[in-house]
Amino acid sequence: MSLKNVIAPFSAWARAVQKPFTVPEADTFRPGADRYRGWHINDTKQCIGCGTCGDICQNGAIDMMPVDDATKGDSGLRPLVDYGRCCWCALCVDVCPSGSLGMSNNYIWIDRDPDVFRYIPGVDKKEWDDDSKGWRKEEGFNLVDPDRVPMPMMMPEEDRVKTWAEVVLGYSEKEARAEAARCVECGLCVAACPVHMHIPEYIAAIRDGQYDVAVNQIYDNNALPEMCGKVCTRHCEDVCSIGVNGDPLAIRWLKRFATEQFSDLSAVLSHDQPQIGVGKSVAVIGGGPGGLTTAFYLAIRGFKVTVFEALPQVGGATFFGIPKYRFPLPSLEKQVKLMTDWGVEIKTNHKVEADEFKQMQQDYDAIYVGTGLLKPSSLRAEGEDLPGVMPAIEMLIDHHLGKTVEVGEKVVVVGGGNVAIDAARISRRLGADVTIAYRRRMEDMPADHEEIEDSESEGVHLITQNIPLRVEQLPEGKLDFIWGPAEMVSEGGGRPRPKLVEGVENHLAVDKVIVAIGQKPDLRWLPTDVAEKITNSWGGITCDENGMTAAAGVFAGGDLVNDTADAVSAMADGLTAVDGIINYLGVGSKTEEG
Amino acid sequence: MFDFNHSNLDENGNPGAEIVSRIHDRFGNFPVHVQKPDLIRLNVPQTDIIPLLSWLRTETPFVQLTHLTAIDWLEEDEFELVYLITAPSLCISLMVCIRVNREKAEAESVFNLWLQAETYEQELHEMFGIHFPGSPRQGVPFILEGWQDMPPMRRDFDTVEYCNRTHPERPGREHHDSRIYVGRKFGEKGYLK
Repeated sequence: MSLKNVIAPFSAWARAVQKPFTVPEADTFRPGADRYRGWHINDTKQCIGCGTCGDICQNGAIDMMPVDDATKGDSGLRPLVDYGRCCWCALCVDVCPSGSLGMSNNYIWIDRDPDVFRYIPGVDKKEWDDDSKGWRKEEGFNLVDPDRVPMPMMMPEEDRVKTWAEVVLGYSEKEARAEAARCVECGLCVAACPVHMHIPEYIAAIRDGQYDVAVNQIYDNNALPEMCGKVCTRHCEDVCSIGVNGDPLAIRWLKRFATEQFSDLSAVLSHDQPQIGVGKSVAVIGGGPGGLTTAFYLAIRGFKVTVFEALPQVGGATFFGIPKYRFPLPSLEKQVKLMTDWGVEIKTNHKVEADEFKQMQQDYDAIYVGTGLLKPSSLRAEGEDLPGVMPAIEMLIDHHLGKTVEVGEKVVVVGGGNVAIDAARISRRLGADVTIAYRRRMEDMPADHEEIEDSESEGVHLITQNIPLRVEQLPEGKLDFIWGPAEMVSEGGGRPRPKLVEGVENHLAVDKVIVAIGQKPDLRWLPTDVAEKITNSWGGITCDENGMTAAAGVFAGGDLVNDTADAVSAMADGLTAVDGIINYLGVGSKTEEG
Repeated sequence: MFDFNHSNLDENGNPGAEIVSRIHDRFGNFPVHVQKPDLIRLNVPQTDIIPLLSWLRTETPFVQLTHLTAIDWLEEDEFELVYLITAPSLCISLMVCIRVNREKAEAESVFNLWLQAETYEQELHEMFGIHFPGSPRQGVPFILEGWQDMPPMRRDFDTVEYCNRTHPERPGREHHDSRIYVGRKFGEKGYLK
């Protein structure tokens, strides 16, 4: 042992009289630079809990923690940052789709307890929460492309009204995969979709070019996906996290792309359902999206399912309501073919009446009623019974059954929903000059906004805040559509209501007034005792959480039951009825799929 | 030193045309890419870097080393060294790029041309493991104290694996993947499989 080693420990004592080497940081606070990356801040109102911050974190420093109820458009999760691992790279801030996450320029925080350095920014209050300085996502800088791959159209806008051909061309493979690559797989869309489709999974499969995988994911809970891929009301896209600060993923068009890759669906699809329904029979009254969904998923479980459809073709409103330039017949037929291939029996031109229903209650183990809304709401204005005033729904049915529909040269369509738009665009194609008259503002229109834009580009005129006053007969069969302007008034917090401006009358000379202000249930075909038991105050049907009505063994769904009145909500009701019927018949114990 | 001035513009109005043509005359036809009118990228062979930078430093207005950094082209098994050389009088910069082998990551030091290169080279040695023989502070820690691992800016450095190894998770951590969480909360089901 050398002398140096003996003395060395004592030399440290020489420091005892010197000033400390450590910097008394708290006494000499230096603020961070304006864009310094300090402790995280999160605007929890703006945050949607998509978890993209946690996914991108290269250190595994972010956990998503439940702080609130999950709702459509917000998972209720919020990021918790572990500062034992954070390297302040700010990728979480740069990727944040909602732009809620940031970093303050405060970087000093001293504590003896290491566990305090894990907190949920914005939820666990910190003194720097309101700092305006620090790191934020830069305007225009995006790790995920905010712009949707545009959907190519079949032909120039001015030519579209001359044809019934489908107007949307569909994505090419390259376009679809590029669009799919924009998805961050947060799953918020799954909550908003009424049938809770496995959206992130099929989008990922499309991105990877595995279209058979995508179609199997899609068919897992959607029996009419090509229809949804073309005309769905796409609640999913409303809540897409990329849509907060950009264009939402084109979820509908991607589904369409995947389903259109295969002309023979049974060649790529497979199922492994136990045949629990063998020996049980189910009647489905009404071959709309809800009824077909119930029929399909029961049939693959061995149930003997028969669909009774009054019209010559199943599809319900997606057949007789939606124009063929949006949803061509071969596309519907292709999906129905899979159903019949997989065991669904379909009887068209078969309208069920009360006596037959009574018999069905004896002959079948369960009945599903999904006959939709077919009774048009009236205009509720003087002159509504004049010849030339016609309900849109009847015009659409006649048109799709191949009957001649005379609209004349000038048409006004009253209403703002998809039926109104469809009636307007069909009238355009029949050669008429078309005006849509709607009570509220354009942004209040229930119709799909793309549909509204397409109709305008096809030359349909739109008059909003338009209240019909009366219709009068003019010479030569013409009609005078008289309307008054409305102002929007807000009362009691609800959405603004149109209020007629008194004393102003506008005139529009037309050949036809097409009324598209909604439809009502028409259940006169039901046996009186059943109808009394299951119908509710507005004439629809009330179901329990299993989709069953007050009549045992009678299930219902679709527009008769829900207030959304779209195809995908009807399909959700159809799935509820599948589970409900299996439970009701007590055959479900053998299967418990997740 | 010859005259460079703004009147020597090419047909596109780029003031860099003069220096590019002179470099081409003297060192051969390197690939040139005009990133911006005032930023020109040159890809040069590794053997030409010292003669080129020496000439720029002593014979042209390109006298300032503004930055020296590296890019890890993992798939091509190469590092790219980027020397940003600025002519303050012209407000033009050259991005002079060389490729070096990733396995034997070594390049000649430019510390004799610009003293501040010593710091850049120290940092590149620490972060990418690129060695600059003769540069004064090679191997002296720059910002990493007692670093035992692969240089962390190499792309094959697995950040999360390193984190898991050296910063064990604090007890009680839980994570909810939003995708799975939402599906469970809303009763997502499958009917085919």
